[in-house]
Formats: sequence, structure tokens, C-alpha cells
Amino acid sequence: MSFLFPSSTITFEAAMRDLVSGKPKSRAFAAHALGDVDDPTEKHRAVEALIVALEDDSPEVRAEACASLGDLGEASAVPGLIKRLADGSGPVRQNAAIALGALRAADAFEPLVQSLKEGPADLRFQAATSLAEIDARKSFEFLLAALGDKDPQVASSAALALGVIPGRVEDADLKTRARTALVEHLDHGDAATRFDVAYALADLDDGAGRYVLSRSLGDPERAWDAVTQLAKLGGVSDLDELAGALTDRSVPPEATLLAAGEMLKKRASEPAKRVLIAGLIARKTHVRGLAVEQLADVGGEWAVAPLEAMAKLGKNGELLEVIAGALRDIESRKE
Amino acid sequence: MLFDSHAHVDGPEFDADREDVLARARAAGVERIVVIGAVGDTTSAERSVALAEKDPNIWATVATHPHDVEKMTPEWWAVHERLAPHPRVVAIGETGLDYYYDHSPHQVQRDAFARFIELAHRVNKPVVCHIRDADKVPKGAHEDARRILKEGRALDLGVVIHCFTGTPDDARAYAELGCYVSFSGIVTYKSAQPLRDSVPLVPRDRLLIETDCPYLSPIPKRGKRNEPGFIVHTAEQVALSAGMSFEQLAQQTAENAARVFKISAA
Repeated sequence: MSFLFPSSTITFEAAMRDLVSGKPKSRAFAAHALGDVDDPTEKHRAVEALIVALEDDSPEVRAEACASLGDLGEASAVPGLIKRLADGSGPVRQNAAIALGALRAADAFEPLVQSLKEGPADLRFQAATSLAEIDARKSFEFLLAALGDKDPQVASSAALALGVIPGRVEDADLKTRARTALVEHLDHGDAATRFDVAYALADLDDGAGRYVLSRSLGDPERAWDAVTQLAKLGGVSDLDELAGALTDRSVPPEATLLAAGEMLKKRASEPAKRVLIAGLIARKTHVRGLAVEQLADVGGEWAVAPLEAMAKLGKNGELLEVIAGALRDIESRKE
Repeated sequence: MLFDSHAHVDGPEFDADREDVLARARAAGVERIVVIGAVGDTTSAERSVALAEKDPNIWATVATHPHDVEKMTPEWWAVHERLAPHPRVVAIGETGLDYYYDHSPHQVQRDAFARFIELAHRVNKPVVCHIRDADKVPKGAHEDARRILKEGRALDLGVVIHCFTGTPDDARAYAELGCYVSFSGIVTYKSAQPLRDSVPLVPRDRLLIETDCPYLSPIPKRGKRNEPGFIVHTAEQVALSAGMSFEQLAQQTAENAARVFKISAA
């Protein structure tokens, strides 16, 4: 849902009332808002009302009800959510699967396996993630099979899940099997899936996909993740790729700053220092803020004067607090 | 002197004969009119201010009606923020909650209502509220409105509940808050006994009357396009329900309108 205004006027009783009155949009807003309830008594009432809303005529309302039930974390919602896996509306099915994953609903494991095997692509995609959340070990074989799904998004989802499962269950054998299977998909026909496979391999400390990651440094949608994973791999060639990103104008500025910060965590680099100092005078506020955040992590004496100069510029009023925090962090590292 | 506290004479319904309509209003004793610039997009606000600039007995308000707040854009807000401080703009409105037609989601209406109250604070002008409840339970528009008015400290600015259609209990609750309560032609309808019962529950110094024209023509004009001159019929019924003479009611409501809209007494 999107609000034109920051919502300050919702109350629990208003949301409960809206959920059963008004047009679908009003009911959907209410279903969304009830997901934020935290008082135990109100939560109980909200869950009961949202379970009823799972049968609402409007798919928008049903989808919001699924999402909120996942947020509220009450097991009593599981049967209703399982039923919604067969909903005629894609967003409802997806949100039901997300919620069942969030609830770690063991009863939903088999229905989600069926969804992963036979459901529509929008559901298979989410079922892969949710199965891994519910029972990482049990889901492993199903996810290996899903790597070969004809839908690239489903294959991507399975790959990303396989990247985290071995760590969750601390199983070296599963890690090896996952790496072997993922490497076979590094030549996937879909570019986004290739990237996700490389990302998952990096999660498993396997650099076989590093060339895929480094080729994505100029892609605005993937550059940040590519830097993160190259830094995670942390080998000499990975750091060389990050060093190259510092001077590559095709790399988005946010990713360049992250690369500079990650570089400085691993090795001394004058170019990385220069990138971070230059980031302090970037045109966009969020880029300047990101430079300050990186300096808070890795800055030394060399960063103090530029940060102090930055604090004196009128246009940085909204960053004063983070600048002060960064200066404190640098000072504490000296001690 | 009669004061029509809520009219839409800026609208296209009056384009063909606006001057005649205003002349008939003057002839009927309606000397002052507040034109509500809040219907549809911001064209209504612009038109209302233009009318108020031209006629010394017309004042304007600006806002976006609760029906339309879902369509609002940052550009609409910019227009309201530009017009709100205008010296001929005497209030922010009509804003509020309409759970009956429900054209915009309730939550969007509530948020917009709160936002318009903030704007009213910035220009130190009262708020004209449109509050209409759902026709079936659960209701709650009036309850939500009173909460938002209290939380937004709107009572400090002055609050007009326009075209009141609530229950006598709602009238009492608004009166307790110090709101001005405005009655339209609906009070003359046969089925509107709860509204007539509400009139004496509003303190006399908080009573207002309005046409809300071109809508809601009073009996005996029902079915025709409403216009400010028809307020006479509403005034007669409100006077009767309040236990006042027509002249007393006319003078009292005109004084009340001048007070809340901060217009010098005639």
C-alpha cells in the first residue's frame, strides 16, 4: 500500500471498523494497518478479523490480510493461509506463501512442496523461499530440483535459498552439494538468474561466479549486491575487481563508495580514501550520507578535516548528526 | 441579514447566470457568502478565490473534498499552500471524512484531514469539515473526526461542521468541543427529525446555516438547483427548531459566521 501522507491518524478501532465496512480500498488499508498491532489483546482480535478477511470478495483485501497475518505471527492463521495458496489471484497466493514462511508453519510444508512442483510460476517462486524458511534441511532436495525450473525467477529463488541453507543447518555435505549444483547453472540463459546463482555461490564462500559478479558492477540494479558479495569473497582477485570499480565511471556512485569502504577494511588504498573524501561533496545528499557512513567504519585521521569542513557547509544540515557520529567513531578507534 | 456559510457558487452550474443568482440572494437578504473551493481538483479553489477577489461580500475557502483526496498530487498541495494565506481565504475546507460515498479510502481521508488541519494552523484559519457517516454499522466517521480534530488541536482555530447530518448525540458532542454546527436544507426534509432535534442541542452562539448550493435545495424548492437565496427556507426551519424568531436566528447565525471566519461585523 502506499500512502500520500505519513499516516498518523489510524487507530486500532478505526482499522477494525474499516475492515468490515467501506469499499475494497478502505478494507485493504485496514487489513494492512492491522499487521502493525502489537498489544496482545488487540493482536488477538486483529488475527480473528483478518482470518475472516481472508475470504473477502476483494483480492486486494485478501492479499493484505495474508501479509498482515504473516506479520502478526499467530499460528491460528495457518489453515486459512494454506487455503489461500490455491487463490485465483497471484498476489494473494504469493502473500499467503510469504506469510506461511514467516510463520515457520510446519503444516504448510507439504502444501508448499505441491505449490513448488505444480503451482503457477508466481507461487513456485515464493514457495521456494518459504520452504527454506520452514525447514531448511527438508527443503534442500526440492530446491535442488527447482534450480532446473523453466521459469528463471523460480530458479533464481531456489538458488538464493540454496545459498543460505547450508549455513543455517551447518552441514558441510549440503554445502558441497549446493555448490556443485549451483556451478552447473552459472551459464543459465537468463542474466538475472546467472547473477543470483553467483550471489548464492558467494554466500557459500565459492568464487566460481566472481566473473558474473564483476560484470554486474555497472548494472545499477545489481552493483551494490555485486560489491557486497565480492567483498565477502575477499580474495586478491575480488579486491582487484573492487579496486577497478573505484575508477570505473559506469559503476553507480553508491556502489563505488561501498567498494571503497570494503577495500579499506581489507587493505590500505589511497584511491579508496580519495573516493570516500570525494563522496563528501557529491551532489546528492544520500550519496554524501553514504560516504559519511563508510568513513564512520573505516576513516582515520585523514578523514577528520574533510568531515569537519563538511559539517560547516549549510547544505549538510540534515547530515550533522551522522557526521558527528562518524567523528566520534574515528576518535574512538584512535584510542 | 443572512449569511450563507457554505455555497458552491463558483461551480459550472452557475456559469450561465451567476450574477442573477447573486442578485436574487441580495434581494432575499443574503448579504454574505462563503464560497467553498474544494470540489474536484484545485480549479474550484482557484475559482472561489477569484470570485472572492471580485465581490467584497464573498469570501473563499480552499482544500480538497474528502471524496477526491485519493487523487491528490503534490501539485494540488502546492496550490492549496499558495492560496491558503490569501487575505480573501477565510478557512481551510471542506475537508473531513465521508464514509457514506467512500470515494477515497478511509485511511487516506483521515490522513488528508489531519494534513489540512496542519495547513490551517500554518495560516491560523478555521477548518470547515465535511463529516458524513456510513449508512450501516459499523459507522464511526463522527467519532474519527472528533478524535482527529482534538489531536490536531483544530478547536484552537475554530471548527465548522458543515451540513450536519449526524445524530443528536453527535450534535451534543460537537457542541461540547466548541464546534460551530451548520444546518443545510436537509433540516427541512420530512425524514430529518433527528436533525431538527439536534438544533436546540447546539448553543446559539455556535449555530450556522448554509445552502451547500447547488445541492440540497430546501423544501419547498427541493428538486431544483439550490442557490443562496433559498437559505431563507432553511433559516425558517432552524429558527423554529431553535425556538427563535427568524430575525433573531438570522442575526445570530450571521454574527457567528463573522466570528468564526474572522470577518468584521457588518
